[in-house]
Amino acid sequence: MCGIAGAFAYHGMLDQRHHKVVRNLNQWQAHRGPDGEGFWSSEDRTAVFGHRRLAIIDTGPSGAQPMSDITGRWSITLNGEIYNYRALRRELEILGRKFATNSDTEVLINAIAQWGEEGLRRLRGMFAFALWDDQEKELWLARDPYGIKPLYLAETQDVLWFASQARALSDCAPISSKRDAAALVGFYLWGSVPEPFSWWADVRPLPAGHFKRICPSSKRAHSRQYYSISAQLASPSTHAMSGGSFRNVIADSVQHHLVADIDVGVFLSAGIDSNVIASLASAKTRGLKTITLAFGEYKGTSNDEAPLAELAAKSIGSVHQTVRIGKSEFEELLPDFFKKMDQPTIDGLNTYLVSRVAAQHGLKVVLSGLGGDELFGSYPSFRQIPRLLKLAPLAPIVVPIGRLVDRVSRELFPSSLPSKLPSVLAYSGNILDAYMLRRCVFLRESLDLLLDRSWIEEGFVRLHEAGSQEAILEPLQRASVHAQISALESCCYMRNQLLRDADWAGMAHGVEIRVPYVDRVVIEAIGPWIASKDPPRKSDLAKVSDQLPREMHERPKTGFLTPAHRWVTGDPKSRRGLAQWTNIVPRLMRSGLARSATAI
Amino acid sequence: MRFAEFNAIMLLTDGFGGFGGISQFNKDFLTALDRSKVVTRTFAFPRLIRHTIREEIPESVVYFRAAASGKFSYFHQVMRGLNLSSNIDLVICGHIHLLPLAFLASQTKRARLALIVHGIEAWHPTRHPIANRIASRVDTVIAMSRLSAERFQEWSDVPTDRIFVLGNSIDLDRFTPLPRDPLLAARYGLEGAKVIMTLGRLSKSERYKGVDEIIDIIPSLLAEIPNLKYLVVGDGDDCGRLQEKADGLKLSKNVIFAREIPEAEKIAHYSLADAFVMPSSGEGFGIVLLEAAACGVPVIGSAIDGSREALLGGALGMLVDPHNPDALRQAILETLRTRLSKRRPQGLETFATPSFQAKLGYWLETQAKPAATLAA
Repeated sequence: MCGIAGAFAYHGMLDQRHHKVVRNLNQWQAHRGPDGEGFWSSEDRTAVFGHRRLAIIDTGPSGAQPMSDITGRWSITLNGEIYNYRALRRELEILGRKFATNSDTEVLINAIAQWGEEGLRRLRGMFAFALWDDQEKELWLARDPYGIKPLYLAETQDVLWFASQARALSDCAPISSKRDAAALVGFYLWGSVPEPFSWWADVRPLPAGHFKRICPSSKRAHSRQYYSISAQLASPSTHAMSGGSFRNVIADSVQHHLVADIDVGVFLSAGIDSNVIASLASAKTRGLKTITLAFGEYKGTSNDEAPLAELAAKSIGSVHQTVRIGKSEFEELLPDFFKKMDQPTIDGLNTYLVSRVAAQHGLKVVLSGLGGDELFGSYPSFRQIPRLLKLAPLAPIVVPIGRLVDRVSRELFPSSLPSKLPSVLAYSGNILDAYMLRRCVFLRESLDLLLDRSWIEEGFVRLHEAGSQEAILEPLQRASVHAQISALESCCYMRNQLLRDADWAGMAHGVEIRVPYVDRVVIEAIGPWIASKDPPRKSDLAKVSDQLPREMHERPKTGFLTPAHRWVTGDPKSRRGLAQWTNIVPRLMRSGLARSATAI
Repeated sequence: MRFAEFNAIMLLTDGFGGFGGISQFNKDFLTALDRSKVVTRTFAFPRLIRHTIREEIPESVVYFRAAASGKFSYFHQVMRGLNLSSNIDLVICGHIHLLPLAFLASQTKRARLALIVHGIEAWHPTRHPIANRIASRVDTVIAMSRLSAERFQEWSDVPTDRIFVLGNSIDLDRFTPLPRDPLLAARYGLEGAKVIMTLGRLSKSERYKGVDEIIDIIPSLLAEIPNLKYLVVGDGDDCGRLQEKADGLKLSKNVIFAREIPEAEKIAHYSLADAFVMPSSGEGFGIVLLEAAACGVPVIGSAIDGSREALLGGALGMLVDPHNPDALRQAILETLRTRLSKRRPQGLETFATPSFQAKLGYWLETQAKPAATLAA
């Protein structure tokens, strides 16, 4: 995993000023790739690539980027890993392709050169890349199906800029720092900026599972989708997967995610997701390193994950490290946390802290249990939304009554009721409303005390026009509610919050976080089961490993707890996590970093 | 880095969707609150919105438009806002007439109270005895000029250590020298004329802008400069009287009243002038003097009110005693006879937006510190 950047000229050629911007982007993203820096320009000076390298596969000079293939026709800057590169290479070699390195990057180039757009669908991994075809004078930009790796674009009159971090573009590229109303509203609704927007109006992400081919004549080509995660949940199977087949799918994914020429560790919590991964990884890796982050404040309480994680580590025989963090250390780290934050988010602190520990213990690659809750239906949303939707057939009556109740109760009891309680009926009409009720940090009705009306109106218009949630559900019109929730959790919450935070917070310390549950092959295999009447549960996952401590099965789901908000506010009543940070995160992020580089 | 929330309420006369110096100051002030590293959110309650709001509201400002629908609505909306917002750390009163309500808000929320003193409105006790009594209890007086602060102190007895002289802000990227627009000049019949100009509200109750004083000396100026024209920009209930006065002196062709102009045409109007003249006697600061100077127009201001501070004691323009017609006449003649290309005076940066924001930001940081730290 690395940091990529670059520019493409729609008209004319790029000059030294453009090169300087790309070098600034490279410099900005230096923490993403401490092992090397690369810079490349096409002969016709139409495209320029930058790269910061975190060396994981083929760690020597031959794996350096930007990289060209043996023919010199193709050049690439890649952020990510291709886990099935060995199998693809064998296939490509049979087809006559020649390789000069042992890297997955060169395999990716050849996959596109051989199969074109179809090559994207054959890749198993996390990736975002820019690829230059010198023969066709064409730029390819692509992002993996789940959107694990980010790729942000910004357009000026004659130039397309791209980078791994939105903030890098905002700081370095010659674009305005204007706020996007949809991002602002989206952030207060969801706690993170929802795609297809970014915090800055002039910066846009390339959507997950999309690619873009641009040549000077096809100016501003639209991105095209090559893969849909939610489509994998559209066709239910009639029966559950057998235990053996299911175990093979998970074990195969873990094995693929262990591909590296350096040590790979595991983030271990007291939950089933990470422990199954650790158990399967330990069977393939001698001396597997596992790491648990714990908080001094929780020691001796039921919130302390360390004892159970240590028990599990002992059971699988890993080299385990528990690191406890206290308030003073946390306070020291916060300025850097906000400095490295790419876009405002109410989460990411736990990932930031545990990645720092991993880096301190010499790990550059770590597996995480992220994504298990979306696959195995263990969020409260999987229980609560179906219950709420039982009222949906009565929506024409219930929803208007609910809106009235909501309005009256908010006027009469403005601060004495839990913020979502008065809105329950009003949000029972359809799955998107019900999902919003469950997932939102603040509901629509609360926004007028957080944002000016002008931002709210413009933001909702733009969010509505984007219709991203409707697009996620589009292939699932006849699917079960469970499958629809799984798709929304995977493509909204997980993509916009968990995966994005895992990227910048891991990269803040030069640590690559790999996510075996967030895998194209896994969702293709168990998607039909998730869509079935009897979808897989955490208990099915727990059976994959016979090494999990008994106590782990009995432990209720808590999520990852941090005392951070209590530390910050000094309020002992403060509730879990960082949800209440929504109000202060944008300002802290702004205070943490001034514009650092000069634009053209 | 401060981690906890810090919210502010601002009661103001007008701001976004408004026109004039106080409106502009309030917009600049709210923008500066947004840019500060301290303030999480500002709830702003305007008493008046004159036009459809076309400006972008800063993202951490919630502008309660419903408050601008009469006295009752204003009171209701402020009370509703107080009820809904959990913690308020600072109440900013944008005009002394709003002080009783601001005081109530600060007491209700146990928040610090800051009063903004623009100028003449606070030079003497107001007609509202409650406001006058509360005036000494504010935690900070944010004054546009040292003169206004001193005048306010004279009757309110606010201790000197509670005074914060902020000054005004000017956007030097927006107010820039431009050539005279021939179409606009034709609109007022100014082709080939030497133009002096005043811009401001023409109010019966506030006859301190010095327009009378200028009209009085126009005949003698015409003897020296026959093609002289005086352009008066701005509207108000005193406009008719001034027009009659000019007509009575047979100056209707030489004194032109442009009335209220759109904000977007302001810079083009400054650019019509060969000299901007405002011999005022009650100006708290005189932002228009700086706007004209930023547009490269030579400026003549008053030596006896807040204009002296705005013009940095004469560094940014000439200072005259408005009650001395000869001095005023000489200053205008000297300025019009000195042919200079449009050029900004050195020193305007003192009032540039970044300086204003930095100054306010520094003060806000002192407000955000715990009381104990402040005391220490």
